[in-house]
Amino acid sequence: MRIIVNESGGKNIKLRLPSSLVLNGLSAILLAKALKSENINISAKELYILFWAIKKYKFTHPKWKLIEVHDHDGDSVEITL
Amino acid sequence: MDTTIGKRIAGLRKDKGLKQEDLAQMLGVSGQAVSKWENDQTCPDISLLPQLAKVLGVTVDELLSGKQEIVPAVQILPEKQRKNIKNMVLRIIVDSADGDKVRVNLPMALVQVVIDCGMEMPQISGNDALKHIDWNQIMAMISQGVVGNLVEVESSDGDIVRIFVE
Repeated sequence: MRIIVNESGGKNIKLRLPSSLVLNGLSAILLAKALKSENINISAKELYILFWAIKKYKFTHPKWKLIEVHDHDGDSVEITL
Repeated sequence: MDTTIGKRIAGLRKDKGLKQEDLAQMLGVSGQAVSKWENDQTCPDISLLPQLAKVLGVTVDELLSGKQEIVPAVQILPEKQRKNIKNMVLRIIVDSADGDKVRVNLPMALVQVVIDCGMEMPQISGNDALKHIDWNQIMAMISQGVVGNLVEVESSDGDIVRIFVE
């Protein structure tokens, strides 16, 4: 998984994170707790199933651009599988 | 909409999920040529414009003038022309009044997993316009072969949210 943050000032951050490190049972538990505090009730098990589906999708569609955000100042964030 | 033709080409290409090499291959030019177009170092040859516009899903006029992008109209596909739902993509486009742009490209395979698990699609980017969208209804429409611009909402703040399936 790649997270790319481009600042209009010129500072760019490129994070290349192994999918297994980001999408695993522990991260599902942590994310479920974080979402609960935001009043979004999704269980860790459900998240784990979703993570598994994302990993499976990544095999058939590598470098899939999942999210792209561009703000009016020229900053941008991209999340690629 | 982006200000130069190069930026428009780059933006539309990214919206389609294409790499520069993919676009180059479709048009029969080099990847370097596409890179030069997108960096506004050169312009595409006039004879390539119709094909380029078609690949990017806009008209030549929209490509050149930078008018508001047009999303595909709603269509109901006959059963023979329907794609497997797992090969379809749900795109959520949020254009805020401030000029911020959010593009979420959700493969239907993942959306299906979310719904099968009984999860509800969480609110996207905190936008009020998406609060009352019935995702089950959208899924039902897609399974009936409806594609194109399914939802278009303009909030009181001037934010525009579009959901389309392709």
